[in-house]
Amino acid sequence: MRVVVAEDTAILRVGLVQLLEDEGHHVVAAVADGEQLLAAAAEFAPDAVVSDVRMPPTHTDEGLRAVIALRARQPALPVLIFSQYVETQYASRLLAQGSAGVGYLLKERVLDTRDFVDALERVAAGGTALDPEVVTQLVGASPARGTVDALSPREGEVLGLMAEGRSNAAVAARLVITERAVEKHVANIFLKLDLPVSAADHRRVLAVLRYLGA
Amino acid sequence: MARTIRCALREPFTARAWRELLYSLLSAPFALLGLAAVLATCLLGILSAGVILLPLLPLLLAVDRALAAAYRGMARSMLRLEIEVPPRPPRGRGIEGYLVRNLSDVASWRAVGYLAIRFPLGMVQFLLGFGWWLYTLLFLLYPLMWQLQEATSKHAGGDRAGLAVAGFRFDTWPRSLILVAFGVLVLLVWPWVQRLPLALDRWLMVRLLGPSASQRRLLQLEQTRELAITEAAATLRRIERNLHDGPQARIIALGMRLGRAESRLARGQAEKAAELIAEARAETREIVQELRELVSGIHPPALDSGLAAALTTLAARAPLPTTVRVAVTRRPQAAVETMLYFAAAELLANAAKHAEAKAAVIAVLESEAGLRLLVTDDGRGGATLDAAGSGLRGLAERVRVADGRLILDSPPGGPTTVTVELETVELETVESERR
Repeated sequence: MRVVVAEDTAILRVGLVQLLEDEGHHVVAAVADGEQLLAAAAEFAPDAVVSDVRMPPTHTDEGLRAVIALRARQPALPVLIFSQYVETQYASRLLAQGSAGVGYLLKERVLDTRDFVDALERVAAGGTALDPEVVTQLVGASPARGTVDALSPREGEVLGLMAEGRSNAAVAARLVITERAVEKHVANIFLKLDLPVSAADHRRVLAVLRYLGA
Repeated sequence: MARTIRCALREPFTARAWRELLYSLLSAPFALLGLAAVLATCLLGILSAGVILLPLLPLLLAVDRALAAAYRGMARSMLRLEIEVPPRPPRGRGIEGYLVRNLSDVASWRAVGYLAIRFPLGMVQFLLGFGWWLYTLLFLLYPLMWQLQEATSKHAGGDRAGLAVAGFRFDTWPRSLILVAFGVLVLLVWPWVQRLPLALDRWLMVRLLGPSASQRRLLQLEQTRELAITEAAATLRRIERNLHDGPQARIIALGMRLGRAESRLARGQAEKAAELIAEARAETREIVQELRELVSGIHPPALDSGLAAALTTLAARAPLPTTVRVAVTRRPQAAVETMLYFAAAELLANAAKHAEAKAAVIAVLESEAGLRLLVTDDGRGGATLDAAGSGLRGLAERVRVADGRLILDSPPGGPTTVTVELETVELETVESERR
C-alpha cells in the first residue's frame, strides 16, 4: 500500500515511516504540514493518508482541515487521523463527509503496532476506525438523546454492520434481505436514536457513533 | 556658542513655535468656553442645594470633562504633551448610582479646577503668544501699511501718514526700516515669551487633567495585573507545547520502537529487535534529560535552597564564564526569588547569544528598601528596550509586575549592565527556615 504521512514532529514522522515500512507498506511521502500534505496527496495519488492534527503554522487543527479539503476533492481517499487529542468539531465534520475510509486514532494506539496497521488497512479498504475515546467525545458533543437499547435485535445487527462502514447494499447482502428492508431498518434506527433530521451521512455517522459508544 | 545663536535665530521658524502659536490662538475661545462651563457648573452646584437641579449637575460635569478631553487633544497635537485619560469610576445602580458616580468623580472636579485657572491663564497665553506674534507682523509689514496709508491719505488730502512716537514720525524708508528691524527683534523673542505661560500650563495640565497619583497607581496595577495574567497563560501554553512536542512525542516514538521490536521478535528477527531495544533505551535516557530541563525551566529545584545556590547553579551551566556575588542577609518571598532567578537566566542568555560576551557577572545586592540584581557582561552593548517584541522589554514588563523597574545601561561597544530594582519587597532573615 502506498501511504502519505503528515506529522510535524520529526521523531514521530520518522518512527511512523519506519513502522509502516516494517509492515511492508510503502511511504511515498512524509511531510510536516497541511499545505505539503495537500501537495503530496495530489502528486503521489496514495492509497491512504495518515495525518497529525496539530501542525505548523498555527499548531491547532491544520491536519484535520487539510484532510477535510482532501476528502472534498477525492471523497474516496482513505484518511487516518492520528492525534494526541480529540478535536470534536472538525472530527464530526470529517465524519459527516462520509464515514467510509475514515479513521481517527489517538497516538497511543500506535504503541500496538499490529492494531495500528490493521486499522490503517481497514480504513484503506473503505472501513472506519474510530478510537473509543473519539467516539465518547463526539457522542458527548452531539445533541441527540435516545439509546441503542431501544433497538430491535435486527436493527442492532444492521447498525453493527453500518458501523463497519458498510453501505446499505452491503448490509442487505450480508443479512440476505432486500435493500428496501435495510432502508426501513435504518430509518427506524434514526427515529429510535432520536437523531436530528440532517444529511443522511451525518445521521449515519451519529448512529454509528452511538453504537460504538454503547 | 555659534550653534546656540543659530538655534535661537531659527526658533521662530520651527514647527514647534507654530504649533504653540496655534495653541495660543485657540486659548482665547477655549478659555471663554471653559469660563462659561465653570460658571454654569458652580451656579447649578449652588442652586442644587435645592436638590431638584442636582440630577442636571452630572450633565454639566460631562461638558467640563469634554472640555478637558479637548485640552488633552490639543496638548497632544500642538504641545506634544501626552496626558493619560483618568479612569471613570464604576457605574452604580439607579439614580443614586448615577449621582454618586458622577458627583464623586475626582477627575471631573479637577477638570473644573483646571478650567477655572485656565481662564486667566488662557487669556495671558493668547496675548503673549498670538498677540505678540500679531504685533510682530504689524512691525514687519509697517512699510507696506505706511505706503498704503500715504497713498490713500494723499488721495483724500488728509493728515500726514505714518506712525509717530513722541514727535518722531516714521515716514521715510530708512525710518520705516528701523521699525522693521525692531519687528525682527520682537519676532526673535516671541517663541520664548509664548512659552512662559505654556510652561505653567503644561505643569497644570499634567496634574489636573491626567489621573491623580492614586488613580495612576490603580492604572498601573490594572496594567500589570493584565500583564501577569497574560504572562501566566503564555507560560502554561509554553509548558503544554514543550510537553506535547517533547516528552509526549518522544514517549510515543519510544513505544513505536518497542512495538516494532516486538513484531521483529515475533518474526524471529532477534538481532534487529535487539537493535531497536537498544535504541529505545537510549531514547529513554534522552527523555529523562529533556524532562529534567523542562522541570528546571518551570521551577529550578536549586531555588529552594535560596537565590545564591540557584544562581551559582545557573552560572555553572552558563555558556560563558560567570561570576556570582550574592550579598543579602535576608530572603525575599519565593515569587520574587523566582522572578529574579529567571531574569538573571534570561539576561545571561542574552549576554551569550546577542552580545557575544566573553564573561559576565551576576550580583544580588541589598539596598535600603529592597533588592537589586545586576547582570553585567563585556559584550558589544547597544541593547535597547524599544524594539517591539524584544526580550528585554518583556523582561522589563515582568519586573514591573513585581513593582520593580529595569534599568538598562548598554552603550555601543559595551559593557552592558542591566539592573533590576525591587524597592518594596518584604525580606525575611536568611536563617529562618522556609518551606
